[in-house]
Amino acid sequence: MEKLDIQKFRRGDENLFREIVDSYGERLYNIVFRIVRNVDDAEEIVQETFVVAFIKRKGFRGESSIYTWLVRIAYNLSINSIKKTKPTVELDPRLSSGSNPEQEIEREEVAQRIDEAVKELPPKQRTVFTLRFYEKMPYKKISNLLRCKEGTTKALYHFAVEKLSAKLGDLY
Amino acid sequence: MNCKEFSNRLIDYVEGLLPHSQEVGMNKHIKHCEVCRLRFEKIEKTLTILKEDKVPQLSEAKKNIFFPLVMERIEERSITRRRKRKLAYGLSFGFTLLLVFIISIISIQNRGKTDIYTLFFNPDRFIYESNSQVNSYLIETFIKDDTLITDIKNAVDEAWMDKSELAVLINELSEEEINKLVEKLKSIDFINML
Repeated sequence: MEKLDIQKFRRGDENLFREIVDSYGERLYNIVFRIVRNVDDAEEIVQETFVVAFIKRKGFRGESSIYTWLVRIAYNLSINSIKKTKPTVELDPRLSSGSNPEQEIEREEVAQRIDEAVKELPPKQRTVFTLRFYEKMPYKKISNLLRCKEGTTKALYHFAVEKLSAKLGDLY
Repeated sequence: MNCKEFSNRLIDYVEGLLPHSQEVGMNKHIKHCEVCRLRFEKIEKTLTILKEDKVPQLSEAKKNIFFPLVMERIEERSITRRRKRKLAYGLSFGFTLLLVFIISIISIQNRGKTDIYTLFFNPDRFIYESNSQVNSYLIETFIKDDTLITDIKNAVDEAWMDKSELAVLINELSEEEINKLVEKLKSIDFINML
């Protein structure tokens, strides 16, 4: 997406907002799914992220990029969702009612184990791991986004990798 | 390099973020330390597996309805907010009306007393602002030679009493005293006198 016209965004320009949704919707969904590990929840959170962003658009001052701002909203909503969701036994959290039939493929043991291992991580560690490992985000940016120190972010990432390694180490 | 240093730099080493000199040290360490080598291999393999972990993609149909769904939610939310705002305005208006009503009732109840306070003094004669009955009675009382009136007259003669002091003096009368005064004055045909 080209450079964002902040004033236009704050005025609530629908075309610009559509452009933002189209540009970042899928990227946000990928991040949120990796945090909540559930398709329905991830879709719901991403939609809600854009709703909140539109309602609170006047609070966006352009100090960070619109993407970072959206990720912060999505992160907060994901944390709330994880706190609200009671742990349930799911055969496959990805194969929920809303997923594409083509994607309802046979679940492999590896994928199940990954789900279990990631879900055992505290939400903040999951988020740091997702942003660092899958989104290749620098520690500094993650620390700004999660409003914590860079050293803390690095430590959280290291803990997450060590824990995942301990949980998944017997897979091969 | 010892195992603790190796451990501290392991993640950066796996990610290839270490400066060349430290990377060489790490390479040397895993050649000699079996425990650290196994740990490194375990993490490396774990990250390779995690890289393969794919996110179930959104279908094209879902992508197409994504924006309309978001806008629909925004619209619903703004309708709800408008309703809440209307309700809040309605409640505030109702509360204000109720408050005005209560204040009116209280002021009507206290009207007699208020009239008393409207009296003020002129050095030449007593005059009054409103022509309510209570005021008229009081004026009559002032004309008659009552103890209270005498006191006031004395005060007037001494020329120290001004409007506010007269008001204070009357204000100091108890309700019972005022009632007594009023009852006493009711017997006087003051209207003809005025």
